[in-house]
Amino acid sequence: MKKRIAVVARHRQDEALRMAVGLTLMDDSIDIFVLDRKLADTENNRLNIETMELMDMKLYTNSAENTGMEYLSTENMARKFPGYDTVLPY
Amino acid sequence: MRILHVVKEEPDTTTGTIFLEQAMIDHVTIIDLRENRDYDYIVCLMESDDRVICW
Amino acid sequence: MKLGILVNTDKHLDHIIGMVKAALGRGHEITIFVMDTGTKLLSNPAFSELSLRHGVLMSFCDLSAQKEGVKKEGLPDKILSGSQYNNAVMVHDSDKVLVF
Repeated sequence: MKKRIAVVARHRQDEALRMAVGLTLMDDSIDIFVLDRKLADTENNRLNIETMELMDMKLYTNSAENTGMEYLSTENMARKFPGYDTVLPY
Repeated sequence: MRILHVVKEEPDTTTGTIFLEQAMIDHVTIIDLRENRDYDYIVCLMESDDRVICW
Repeated sequence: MKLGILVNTDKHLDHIIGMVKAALGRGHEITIFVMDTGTKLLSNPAFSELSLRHGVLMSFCDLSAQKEGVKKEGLPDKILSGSQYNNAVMVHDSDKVLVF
């Protein structure tokens, strides 16, 4: 059965994004939540974001600095998390 | 829904907001591993709660 | 319950050991996936020998191990040198996942 998984990028954004892309290998539905700060503009992050966009993965953020992601307040994120089978803060 | 938050470090403003917001709707339990190392109890909670989030 | 443990730092060995022992004691199956700086723990027998316990499966991200300069020689044979696919399988198959 397809699972709904949330990856929460907090401390190490690059590894969180790499993991999120890897989690798609079991055909689960993966959403990414970038917390509190701008996503670092690195080559790896750009590639992973590109991959996520190609795979229609949803990207949410509570930081207005992150353009191209859907803004959600922290409160709204909190209400969304119980809807996932698994939440993985990274 | 019953949600168990397992905390390994001092919660920041964001995680604190998440705990408070969820507690308004769901049954939230917070275990701080810096203070509580009763792993048997934590496993029991994990068995009964619907969601576990480890921060 | 199938318990997944994602180890992505080397900071919480005591908690990992405590949770594994408690979960096994209550008859649960455990899968551990190690990545990022968590791979540094592989060189600590207190950690790597958890893989020898009945009911524990352990694998790690080989890319992370290479990046962290972790030596793979001498690791218990039961530990699988793997990739993010192993993490995807663990998360997919586990009822609950802890992150350390």
